[in-house]
Amino acid sequence: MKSVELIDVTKTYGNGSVIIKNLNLSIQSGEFFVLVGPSGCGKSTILRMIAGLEGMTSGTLLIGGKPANLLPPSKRSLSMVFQNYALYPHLTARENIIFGLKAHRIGKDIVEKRLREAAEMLNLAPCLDRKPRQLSGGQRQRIALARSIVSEAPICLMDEPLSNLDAKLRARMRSEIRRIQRKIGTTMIYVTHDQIEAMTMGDRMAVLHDGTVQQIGRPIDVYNHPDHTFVASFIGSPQMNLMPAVYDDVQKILRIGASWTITRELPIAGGEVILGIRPENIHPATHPASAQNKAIHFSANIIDTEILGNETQLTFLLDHQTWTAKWEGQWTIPDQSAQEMVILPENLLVFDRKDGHILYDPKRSQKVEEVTV
Amino acid sequence: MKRIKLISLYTVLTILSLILFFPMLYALSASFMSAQEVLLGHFFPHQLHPENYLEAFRDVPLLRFLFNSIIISLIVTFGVLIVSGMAAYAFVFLHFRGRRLLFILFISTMMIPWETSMIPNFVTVQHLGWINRYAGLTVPFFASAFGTFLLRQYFKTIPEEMWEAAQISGIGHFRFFVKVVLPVSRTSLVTLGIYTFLTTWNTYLWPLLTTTDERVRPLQIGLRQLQSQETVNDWGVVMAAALIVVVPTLIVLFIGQKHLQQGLTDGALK
Repeated sequence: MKSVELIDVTKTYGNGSVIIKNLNLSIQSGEFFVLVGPSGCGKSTILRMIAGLEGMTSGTLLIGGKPANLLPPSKRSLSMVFQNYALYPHLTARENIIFGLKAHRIGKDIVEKRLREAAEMLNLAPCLDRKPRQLSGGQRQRIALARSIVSEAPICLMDEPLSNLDAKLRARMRSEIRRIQRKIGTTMIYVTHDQIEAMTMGDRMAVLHDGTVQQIGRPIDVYNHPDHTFVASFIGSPQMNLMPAVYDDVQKILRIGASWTITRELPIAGGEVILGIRPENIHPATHPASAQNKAIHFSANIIDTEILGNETQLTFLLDHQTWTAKWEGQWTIPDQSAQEMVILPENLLVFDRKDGHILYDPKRSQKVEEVTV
Repeated sequence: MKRIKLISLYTVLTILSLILFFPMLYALSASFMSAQEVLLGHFFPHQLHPENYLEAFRDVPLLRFLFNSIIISLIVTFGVLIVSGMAAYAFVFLHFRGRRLLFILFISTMMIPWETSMIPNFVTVQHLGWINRYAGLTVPFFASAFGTFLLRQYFKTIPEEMWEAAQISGIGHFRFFVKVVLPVSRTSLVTLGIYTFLTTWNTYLWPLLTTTDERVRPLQIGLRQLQSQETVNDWGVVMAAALIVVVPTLIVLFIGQKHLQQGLTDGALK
């Protein structure tokens, strides 16, 4: 297995538009690395540059520690699974899987063995003799995966491989891809716009926005400790509540909107900030959190409730701003009724309003201490 | 109601097809008449003269012409498929500077009437010493802007990812062209093949200009020779020869039609 490193990579197109700005990524050998971001953030371009399907304007690509900028795609020891699978419609599933191996002059016995193993791993045996158009979306997806597996390339690139599948199949394929990756130990670079895939599949992920990396880290760390308002709003569903606020560092008061104030000392300079809180951290007044004396109590008018089975999503207005809360259990609350709620100050994140960077993350400092102890 | 509609539809279609098919029917009928009978304006032969067909083969070397026509048409068809296929591939899968401009330039040659390039082509062929040779009858037709255009349009529907997947597996341009692009584009190749075969089969002027030797001349010229060799034309014989000329094109159409339909449904289900 091989590592992949991108050093100061920039990509500009002929018309001067910058797609990727000074990208630095270091993907370890055997790691499942997810590139996630909204469409147009450059994540596919990064993947295609690693594959060698697109050139870089500047920067260095190291594959297995060796410069690979000028290598043709076939010499980069990688395989790739495309969003539309890119199967050859005139070949059977079997021929599709081994098509690439023929070019490498690999012995017939080895080809057969690899084919058998891959087919077994993905339960493909019954459809090997059918053509792609006779197969379902999920089966085509597996053929594309099998094609990548039989190549035994140390690096596997996947470009939104699950986006053409229905929700149920997608969930199954998520764990299947993860399982296979663990079993084979390939270095996986996986591009997706789906935050659930990013959260559940990756060892680490990089959140991209407008061609720059916003944050790299373990999915759970990115979720708990977003570095930036973009990451905070992109990861998590429903998204984090982000409210403009002003911090007065003389009176130690945080003013949210016109009327709501929270008296609290923050280790930051006064000024315009953005306050962030995850919907699941806004609790009903009956929650045990409200017993803590540092808890912040407030009341708000509910404008909508959605019961999603085991949890209820509430939308409410606070100072003309729409907030969302996620409560456990099933709550039937009439619209326009006032509801007592509670939040804990340790769940409040403070971002800079100008550049969106994190200013204060109470839990993060604790965590750093834990690590140092 | 539906029945009436169907009946009227078929009536109109039958009448139209009879009108369109009339010359063929008359030719068939006349091919069994004697020369006098044709001139009398009879519609059906009073007495069958199947010997007209033998006559046609005796008057001119019809078999030789038939052979030439088949050879020439096949060479041109495969030449066009190979050259147009490779050109179209280059226009779709090779990314080079000025590709669009070159393509526009390439297809703009479709606007130049063939007659205007005939003389320069003739001079070229003459200088190459290709007069009275198959090469002179076939090579000038290999570069077909229409064929390139047709195939390019189809190749463009092949997802770019297929080529990218091939690149990653280490499959080169030629292998990708032969093993993927050509089989996937079978429908378009058959269409272009039939079109080219029929057009070449029916060319008259160019073979007339570049050949004087009966050993390389195609059928269409042979047909013309039948008419002028005698003072009074034996139309029965001419018609018999004309029908013989038509038969191979019908065979090509029938075979092609089957392939075409197969190809079309292939594409629909993809």
